Amino acid sequence: MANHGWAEAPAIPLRVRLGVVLRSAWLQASLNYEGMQNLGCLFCLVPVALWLKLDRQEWRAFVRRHLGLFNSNPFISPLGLGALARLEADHHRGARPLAEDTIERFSARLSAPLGAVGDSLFWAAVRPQMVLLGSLVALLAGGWGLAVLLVGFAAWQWTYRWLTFSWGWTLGTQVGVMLRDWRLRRPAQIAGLIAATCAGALVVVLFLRGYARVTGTAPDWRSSAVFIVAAIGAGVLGYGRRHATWALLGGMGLGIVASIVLLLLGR
Amino acid sequence: MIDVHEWVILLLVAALVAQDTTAGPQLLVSEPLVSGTLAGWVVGDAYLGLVMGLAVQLIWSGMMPVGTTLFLDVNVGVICAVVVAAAMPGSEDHRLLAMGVALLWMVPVALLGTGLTELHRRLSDIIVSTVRPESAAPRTIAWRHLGGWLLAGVQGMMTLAFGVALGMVIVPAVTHSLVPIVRADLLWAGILGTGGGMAVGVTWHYSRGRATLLGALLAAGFWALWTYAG
Repeated sequence: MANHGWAEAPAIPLRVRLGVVLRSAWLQASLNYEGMQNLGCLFCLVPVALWLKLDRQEWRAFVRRHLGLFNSNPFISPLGLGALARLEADHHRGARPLAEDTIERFSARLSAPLGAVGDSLFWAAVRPQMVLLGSLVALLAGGWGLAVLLVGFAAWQWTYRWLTFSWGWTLGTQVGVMLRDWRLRRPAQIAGLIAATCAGALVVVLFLRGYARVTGTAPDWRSSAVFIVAAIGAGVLGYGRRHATWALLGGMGLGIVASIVLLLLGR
Repeated sequence: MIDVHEWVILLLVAALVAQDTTAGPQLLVSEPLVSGTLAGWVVGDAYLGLVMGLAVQLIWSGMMPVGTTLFLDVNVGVICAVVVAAAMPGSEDHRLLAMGVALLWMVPVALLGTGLTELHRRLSDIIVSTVRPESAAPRTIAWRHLGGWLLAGVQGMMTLAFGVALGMVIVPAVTHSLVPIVRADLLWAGILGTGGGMAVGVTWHYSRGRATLLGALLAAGFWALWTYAG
């Protein structure tokens, strides 16, 4: 990566950094249609304002600046929060005199790419990966699956929350380069591949072990046929991003219809 | 029947799950696999909770609570389904059928959760609009912001209370009417097949099926080794 101001970043106290990163876990508490995560962003940046010891006038201007629009994926939101904290610090110290609406416009402009990159990393790849891995372990080892899901996802999210704040603080207005960086793009591909591998294994384990554990009987030709047809149908619906409710109704409907047909045939 | 202590714990779990879904801290305690098992543990049948949670988890594995998108609130819905199914008396086969019907009952309950989420966000609009730069102290900002978080908890509690109260009447009635015509094993073959299929469908595009096939072959290979070596 090119040196986009990495070396010149001033120090920020650990307690301030910790304060922002921990608060970012509650970024969406007051999620709303008007300003999206605006109050959440302000709530997260309060430790920065307290550290900068803003006077009454500056505090009012600070609050006004962050009540506009802010929206991000919650797990990489510290990237935007770090950049905004850096802008506030530079503005306060006079290192970078800014027009009154610069920070507000920067915040709004950053929202769409932060959301898109974070969603493709966390919601589309890391969450399915951990959820499917956890489900696979749950099928094989019961409650351990929950531990895998919770600990694995916590490791991902807190690593990213901590690192992205550092990147945002260091890069400031240049934070856009980070959104194209391999550190946010490559893990999504790897997590996606792991999720797909787990999904393949899950179908086999569900059929060979899960069914027997749930119903208490080994699958016969009737239940095998229902399982396979339901899996193919749901696979097509899932690939087409159709609503999962239709898949559930289809799978249950298939079981009910098969039961009635077998009843009528006397089997 | 559920006693008062269990009700209190279940309402708190529903609040925590509803908060964790989007409001925070998003530790994924809200995922159906976890919330279902937790609910099952509270009502004394963690295994039932795990099975129902796993089924819902797989079927909704492609769900993404992105931004202000409205999604079916299956996270609280599955708690309701587990509680209703666990309260059903009868044989093992009868109970298995009730678990399937409870999963179906989860859908309207989850829709109610979606409606309450919409209402919650409208209320958050009002809360945020009351923050004035002239008078907002750090503590005021924190309280207004966390007010939204508390509202999410109330939303979860309301969804659960409604879902369980009505589900205790509807699910047993539907189950009794289905007993003569529906085989529980076939119903669950359909549910589990749907779960597996959805998991494959939503992750297929990552490798055009190659990683999925590799996973399936690995699992089948290990199973064959285990069976023959054992």
